[in-house]
Amino acid sequence: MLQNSSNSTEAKKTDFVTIGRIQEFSELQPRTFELGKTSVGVVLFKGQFYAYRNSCPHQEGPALEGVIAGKTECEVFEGGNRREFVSKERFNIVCPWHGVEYDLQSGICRADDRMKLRKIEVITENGDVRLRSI
Amino acid sequence: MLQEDGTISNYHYRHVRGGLDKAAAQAEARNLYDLLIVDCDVHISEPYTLFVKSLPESYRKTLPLEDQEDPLYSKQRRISQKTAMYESRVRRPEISFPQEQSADEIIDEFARRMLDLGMKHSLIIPNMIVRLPMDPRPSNYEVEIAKAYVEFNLTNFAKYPEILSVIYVPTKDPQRAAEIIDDYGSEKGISGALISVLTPKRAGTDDWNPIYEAAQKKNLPIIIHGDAIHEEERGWLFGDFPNLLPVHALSFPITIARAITSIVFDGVPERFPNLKFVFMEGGVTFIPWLMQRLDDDYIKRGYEAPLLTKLPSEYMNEFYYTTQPLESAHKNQLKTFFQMFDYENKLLYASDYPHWDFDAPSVIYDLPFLSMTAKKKILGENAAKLFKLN
Repeated sequence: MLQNSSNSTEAKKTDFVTIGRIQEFSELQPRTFELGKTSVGVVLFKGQFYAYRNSCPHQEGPALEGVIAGKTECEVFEGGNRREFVSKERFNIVCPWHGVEYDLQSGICRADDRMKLRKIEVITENGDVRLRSI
Repeated sequence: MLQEDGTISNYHYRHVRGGLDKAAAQAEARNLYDLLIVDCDVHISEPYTLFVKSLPESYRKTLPLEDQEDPLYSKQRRISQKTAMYESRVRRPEISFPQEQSADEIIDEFARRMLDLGMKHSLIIPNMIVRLPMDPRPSNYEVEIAKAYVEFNLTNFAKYPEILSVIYVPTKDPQRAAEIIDDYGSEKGISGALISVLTPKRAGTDDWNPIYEAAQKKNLPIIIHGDAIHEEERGWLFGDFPNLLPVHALSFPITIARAITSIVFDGVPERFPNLKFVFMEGGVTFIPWLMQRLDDDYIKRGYEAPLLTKLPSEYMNEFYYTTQPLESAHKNQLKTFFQMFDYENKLLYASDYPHWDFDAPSVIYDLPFLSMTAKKKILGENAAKLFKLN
C-alpha cells in the first residue's frame, strides 16, 4: 500500500529512498537522515509521517533536532479574561538553537508565516518509510 | 584542545544532536576560518561557589543562606529553571551549561567551539555576578567576589591568548573598584572593566569617577552589558510582566539606554576624553532611536547638560556596540538602521553563546548590504583594534 503524507500521488517508487521501518519511529520523536548532503527530519504524528529539511529558515539551525512541543494556546472568555494552555492536539517543531517554532503539519513558523520549513515528500510502503530523493 | 603555546590542535565536528554542527558548516561554506573573528560576548557558567569558598567566613555568613546555599546562587538557579532556555525548548547539548563548569571544561569547550566556528578570540563576560549590585550584602562582599573573579580568570585563562576576560567592577565601593582596576588592569588577557547595568546609581554619577579615572589610566574600555531584570529587581517598570518574553525584549536595550543617557548627559566623555565605552547585547536598532531621542531633547533642554560640546548622537557615534541579538525579522529595513550611525567602525560581533538568543558569525556575514570590508571590520577587525589583539 502506498500512503502519502503529502499531495503527490504520481511519484514513481524509484524516486524514493527507504529510511527505515514504520515501527522504528515513535510518535513525536523526530529522527534525522542524510539524503546526500541534505539533512532531513522525519516525525510521526497520529500515524502520519511529516518530513522537512533539517534547516531552520531563521539561522539555519538544526530545526528537527530539538523537541516537538505542544502548541501554547489561549482561550479568551467573555469579558476578556484568558486561560493559557498547552494543546494536546496541535504540536510545533522547536528549533534547538533559538526556540523558533514551526507547525508540525504545515511547517509554517508560528510567529512569522514568511518563514517555512521545506517539506519533503514522505510515503509508507510495505511497512517501509520512504523519502523522496533530493 | 587549546595548547598553552596558544595554538589549537585540530578538532573535528562533534556531531552532537541539536548542537553547533550547522554553524560549523556555515563557517566552512563561507570560508570564515580565513577571517579574523572575535566573539566579544560569550558566557560561561562561572564557578560562583568557588569564588564564595575563597572568601573569608565573615563574608559568607553575612546573610542567612537559603537552602544552605548562597542566596545569589539559589536565585540564579531559580532564574535558570524559569527562563525559556531551560524549559527544554532551547538546548545546548554540546556543553554542560548551565551547570557550573571547571576551568578545564571551559577551556576545552571554548577550543572546540572557536575552532568549529572560526573564532580567533572570545571575550568572556560574567553571567550571574552582574546581579551583585542588587545583592543586599555589604559592599565588601561585592569587592571580594570581584577579586576572586579576576583571579579565577587570570589563573585559568591568561595563558591562552585566544581567551579574553574582564574585570568585574564592584561599583558599590568605587575607590576599591578603582584599586582593582589599577592592580589587574594591565594583566594578560584582561580586556575591559565591566560595569553591571543593575546598579541603583546612574552610570554618569560623580561617585564613579575613581572607576573611570582608573580605567582611562589603564587604557581599559568600560564595558556595560544589558541584562534581563529578574524577579524583585524588575520593580514597577517590569515587575508585572508574567514571563521572560516582554522583559527580555525591553530590558536589554532599555538598561543600556539608561546607561548611555547618563554617561552622555553627565558628560563622562568630556571628563574622561580618552575613555572608551562598549555597550553589549542591546541589539542594533535601539542605537538610532536613542540618538534621535537624546538629540531632540538636548536641543530643547541643553541647559541641563552644560558639559556637552556636541550633540548626544556624536558622543554615541564614538561608543562601541556589540551586534547581538541582531534584529533581523525585517531585514529590508535593517540597512536603514545601520546607516544611521558609524556601524562600520563601531559594531563588534558577539555571539552571546550559549544563551537562547545567540548569533553565529554568519548572521553578520550574510547581511546583503554590508561590503566585505565592513563585514571584516565588524566580525573582528574593530575588536582587534579596540582590545589591541595581535
